[in-house]
Amino acid sequence: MPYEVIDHTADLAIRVVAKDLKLLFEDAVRAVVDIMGARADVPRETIDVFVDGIDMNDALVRWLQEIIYRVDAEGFRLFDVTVNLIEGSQAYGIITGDYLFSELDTAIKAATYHGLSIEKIGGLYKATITFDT
Amino acid sequence: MEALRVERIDPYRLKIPMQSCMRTYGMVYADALIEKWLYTDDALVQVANVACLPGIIGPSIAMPDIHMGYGFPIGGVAAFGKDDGVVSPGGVGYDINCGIRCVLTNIKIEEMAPLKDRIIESIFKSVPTGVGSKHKTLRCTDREFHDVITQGAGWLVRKGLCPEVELECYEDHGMLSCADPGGISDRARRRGLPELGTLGSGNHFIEIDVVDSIVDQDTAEAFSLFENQIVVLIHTGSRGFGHQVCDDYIHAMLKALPDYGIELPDRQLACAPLSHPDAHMYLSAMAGAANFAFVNRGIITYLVRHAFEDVLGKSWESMGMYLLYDCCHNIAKIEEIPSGDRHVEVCIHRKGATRALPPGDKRLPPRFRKTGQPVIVPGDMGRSSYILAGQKGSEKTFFSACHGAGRLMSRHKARKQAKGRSISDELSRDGIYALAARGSTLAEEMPEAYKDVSHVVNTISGAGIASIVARMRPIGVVKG
Repeated sequence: MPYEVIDHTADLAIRVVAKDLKLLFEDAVRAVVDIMGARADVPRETIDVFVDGIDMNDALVRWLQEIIYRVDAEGFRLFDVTVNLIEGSQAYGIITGDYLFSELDTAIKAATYHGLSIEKIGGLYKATITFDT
Repeated sequence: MEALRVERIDPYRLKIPMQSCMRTYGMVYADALIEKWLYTDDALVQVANVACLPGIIGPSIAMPDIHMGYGFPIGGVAAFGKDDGVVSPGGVGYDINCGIRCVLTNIKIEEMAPLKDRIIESIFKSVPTGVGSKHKTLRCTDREFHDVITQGAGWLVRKGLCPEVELECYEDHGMLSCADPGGISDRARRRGLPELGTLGSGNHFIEIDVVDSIVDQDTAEAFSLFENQIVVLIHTGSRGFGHQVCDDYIHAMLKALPDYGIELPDRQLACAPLSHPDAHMYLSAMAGAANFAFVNRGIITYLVRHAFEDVLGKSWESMGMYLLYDCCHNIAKIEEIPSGDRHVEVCIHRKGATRALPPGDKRLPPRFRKTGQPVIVPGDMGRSSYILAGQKGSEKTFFSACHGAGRLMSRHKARKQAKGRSISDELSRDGIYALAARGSTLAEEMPEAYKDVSHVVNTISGAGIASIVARMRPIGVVKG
């Protein structure tokens, strides 16, 4: 998976690296889905996801919160994610999957702002995200 | 923030002098051993960051079970002036009113020993546990959900799920009266409805313990505790309902920070001035989530009592299964603190800390007014837990004490260290029967992942915040 788990005493932190922002947002979702065990085998349903934060960092947190809500509250399990637009503080994309309500591996309560950073280093975008688990 | 300066001021306390953006100093309750653990993560920086918030009164405090959280440290306590201070949803956390209760019994270990596995299995069957657990039998209508949010534990009494006499054994009688469903989003409602009466996962648990040592006989008697007695600890909170309330308000306050004129060292500390309507909206929504959590623990208690009845064939009343106390760990409340020769109201945040009222405090019910408030301090699932009583020294901590052992190891690291081991078998060898919805929970929650709670309570006791009344050890555990 395109993410790395970083030690955080109370919670869970990950680092995601991607060659552009769209991929970074997509891989962050794939990381959440992998950690929660929220996969679907078939793209039976499609959901539009749009977030408008106060800046890019906030947009990433809002983006992941949307996914966590769909998984936790609506029982949605993901087949794939596609980000169509990242601009300023907005992100728009679609997630495919199904309302399976299957058992999850790990609870993620929320993506947090703590220690959050999106940096461009050597042509790659890197984000560190801490979750409350 | 540059490397922090930290000074030891006595065997139980470290001071973080004012530096950088701090508006006050930090005070960390830690003995020499706990201090060593402190430098392994950024928990102290988080204590300092909290000290940067507007209107903070007294020091930014951390209890000896301190460890790194997000925004506030876990174990953090801070008070803010009603006129110039703030309320921070991150200073309460996502699991609003995650808390603990201790249910007494009059059963002795000799009677329980041969039956404990059956009781644990019965509890595991009747209480929904695990990640995103939903209640399959409890159906709560929208109207009832409104009543849960506004009435808290009073709703349990009206539904016949809890005797009225028990309400005095809840912090604030199990109801924060400022709860207002008006500020609660549909998303929060949708997440909350199916999760009422569920344990969840992570560090939430139901534990059967035996009292193995009485330290303060008189207070133990007042608390109806005796040696070899079986008690039940229940630790859970407001589930997805609280997570959503917290998320909704962190987001809203973050957006509004420029309007409030507040700058922060960490966005997770997003807050609103207590004089602003946004703060009142949050406090009333948070109170709704807190009331949900009181009810959640109450429903689980009802199910636990029935599990005991099924296995032992006696009524829960005849087994003396009454509540000793139920207290909040993650909360922000307007409370009174002494200021010179009078009392002032402040907004106290406890993020992984327990209220600990001293003897004589008028907020205590008469039965605890001589002893101080029962403070329940769970350890890890393999070692001891403690019952303490709030003492006079808690005035220095805005009437707060520790809430547990505090993690030493991340969940990720714990899982790695547990590879190839059966934590369940290891616990079983120590006479502890553990059931979990997922095997990995037992690995994440293994005893070595936590500090030894004895160090934590000794620091609290040494500092005069609360005194040790009794020690318990686990014999059966249900984990999510």
